[in-house]
Amino acid sequence: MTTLDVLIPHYNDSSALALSLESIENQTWAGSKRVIVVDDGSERDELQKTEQVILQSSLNIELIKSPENLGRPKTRNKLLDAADAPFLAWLDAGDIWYKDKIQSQFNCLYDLVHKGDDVDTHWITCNYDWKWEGKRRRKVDQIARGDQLKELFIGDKLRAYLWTLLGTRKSFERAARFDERLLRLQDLDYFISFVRAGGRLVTPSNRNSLCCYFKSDIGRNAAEIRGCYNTIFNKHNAALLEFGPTFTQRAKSKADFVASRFAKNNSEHGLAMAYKFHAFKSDPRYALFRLKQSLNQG
Amino acid sequence: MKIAVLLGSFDLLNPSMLDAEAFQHIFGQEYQFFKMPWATGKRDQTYNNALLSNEDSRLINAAGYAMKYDFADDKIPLLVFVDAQISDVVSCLKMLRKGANCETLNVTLLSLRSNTTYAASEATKAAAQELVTASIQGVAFTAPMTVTVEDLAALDVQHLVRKNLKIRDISTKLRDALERRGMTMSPDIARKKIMRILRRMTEEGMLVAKDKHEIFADELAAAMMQDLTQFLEKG
Repeated sequence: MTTLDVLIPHYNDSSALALSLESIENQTWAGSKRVIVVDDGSERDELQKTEQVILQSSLNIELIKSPENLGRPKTRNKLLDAADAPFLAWLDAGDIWYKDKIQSQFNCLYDLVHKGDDVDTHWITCNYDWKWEGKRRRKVDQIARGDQLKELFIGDKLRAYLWTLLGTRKSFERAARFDERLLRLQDLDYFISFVRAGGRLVTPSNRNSLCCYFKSDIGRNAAEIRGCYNTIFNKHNAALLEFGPTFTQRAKSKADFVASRFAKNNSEHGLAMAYKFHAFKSDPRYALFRLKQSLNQG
Repeated sequence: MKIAVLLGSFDLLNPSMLDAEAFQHIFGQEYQFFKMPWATGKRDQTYNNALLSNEDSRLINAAGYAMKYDFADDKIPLLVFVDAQISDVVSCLKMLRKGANCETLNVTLLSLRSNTTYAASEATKAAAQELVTASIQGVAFTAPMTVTVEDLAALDVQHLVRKNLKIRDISTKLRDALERRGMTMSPDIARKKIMRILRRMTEEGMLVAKDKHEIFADELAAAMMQDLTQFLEKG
């Protein structure tokens, strides 16, 4: 019986997939696992290379091929449909887990059982490294204390990244499915849905970074990102309103900052300035705080 | 779900001689000593007697859950109970089955037999037989398996001797390194310190290579001196 299904969406990057698979092979956790890769309509050459990578791996891998490029949310829903192990974890092709990730997260689950908590209402996230091209890895702490819904909307202390997670299949059913309207930020919507449905994120006692995210904004449309934020804010408007108008303005200001970063990293400097200006208009205090923070980080 | 249980008296199951590695050596790689690094306050316990306490039924429940999911298909979790009451073992097995949420818990009873500790060996065998005859719903016992070791003190001679030599060698080098820095440490304390550090490292899957004992001891001495300096500065 497979205990853990590892879910990987893949598109046109077989060498990135190889890197991720290697990090799964190196896990210290000894339970039985299966990797499910949904290839989202990669070009023929890349698909062939992907098949080679899978053949060469010692892991138990199931490859599901989409005949056309459906986009990330639909691919993730396909992965959910294919999974049937009692536990699920996610990884994006190109990102890696450090060797103790899954064991540390399972230990956290056992600890939850020991405390008498319901494992089906918890997701185990973890601290991670954030690596921009040409820069050193930077550790990012996931802080699970406090109002998690609030923290997810702002995303400064608790961030919505699927590849940090381990949980029971039932816990993932709590968040339902990925919103197929969201070409970007479907993780954020998924996390918010989970917490709104009574779910809670916890972190393992191992406070080291347990995975690494190789970050790139290149080729990602800033306006699309900002549009996805709007969709999420509209969808979860009732939850946002509960925190009051000041908080809503803060969440919008943060969204503008993220869109500004994407625009800047794609050399759309005018657009980047416009988003920043908008962020200042929405919440000047928060905008100043962000500006100070980015100056401190260089 | 399959598990293995080893019962015995302290004379036979002495933690100073028998650790997780030694058990695997005696009973084979198929059996893997069950540990609970996730359980607060229980992570450093050598054997599994914490599971026999009636005070924490959730711990047994969680252990059953962990056993079900933490092991490869070809590995069997091995539980070691020292000087255990059979009634406690029976209730523990019932709870483990509940925690693992399995229809049948298949238990292999293991016994150790040693010519040098005859009385203890016989007691182990008797305890295993008593447990087999206990009727527990949802728990099936396979025929007890007895492994005879000629001399328990010489058990896994290579393994133990190698381990002891390593501890002795590194602790001597640590004392030398400290002495070079103007500090002395008794051989007994140095040995205990190294034993503790190596045990922790083994748990983390780390080993000190044979040709690196000197460097390791030197780094350790430097770190100890630094700790001491900081402590004195604070005080």
